[in-house]
Amino acid sequence: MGLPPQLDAIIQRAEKVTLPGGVVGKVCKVLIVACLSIAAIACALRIMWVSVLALAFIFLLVFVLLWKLINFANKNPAAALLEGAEFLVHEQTHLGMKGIPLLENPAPHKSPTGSTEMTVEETAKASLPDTNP
Amino acid sequence: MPKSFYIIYIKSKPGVMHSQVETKMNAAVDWFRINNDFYVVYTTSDEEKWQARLLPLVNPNGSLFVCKLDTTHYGGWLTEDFWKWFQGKII
Repeated sequence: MGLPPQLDAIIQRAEKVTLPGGVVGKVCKVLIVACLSIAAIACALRIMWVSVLALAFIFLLVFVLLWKLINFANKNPAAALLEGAEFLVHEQTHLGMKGIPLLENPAPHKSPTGSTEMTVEETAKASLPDTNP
Repeated sequence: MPKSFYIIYIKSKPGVMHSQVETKMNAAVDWFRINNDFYVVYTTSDEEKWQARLLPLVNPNGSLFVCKLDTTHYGGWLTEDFWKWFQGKII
């Protein structure tokens, strides 16, 4: 037996919703599964006081966890939303200057003289330790 | 007022947005960000003034180091964008 068209449309729209990665995404997924599990158990038992308790527990769990998540995301937005590798990339060098907050395509790295390789003399000089007069 | 280069290392305290740091940096004549925590600043202000500007963003759990640069001797390996910016101001 097929689902009513309205419910089908809702489910299709819900499938397009994606949760962010990082801590926020993972905790939200766990929260959704926990709430659905508690609701399923309460429905299966069909006992009034169990249903009320389950509702109260879901409300408390969601309220407390979301409060803590929002505080964490506020203070650490990158860690909250990015997955491990993405977070590491985000923490890497971001070149910028006044008026251009992010240099999207920075020029290649060079020495101040414009050279891209060390000369033989420079290599030889570098191998000598500091002198301590 | 003569202009000088300063290096500023700033690790802001939790809750401070990157945009707040750069709003303060915009008080300089010019600046170049080498990485998220490290700036080379071209400024008429001294280290005390920069400390006063940035301390609210780091106290108590962040870090701050402000030091005047001697530009008579320098070297390294950075993007050409930086060298153009830096050397353009030394001359």
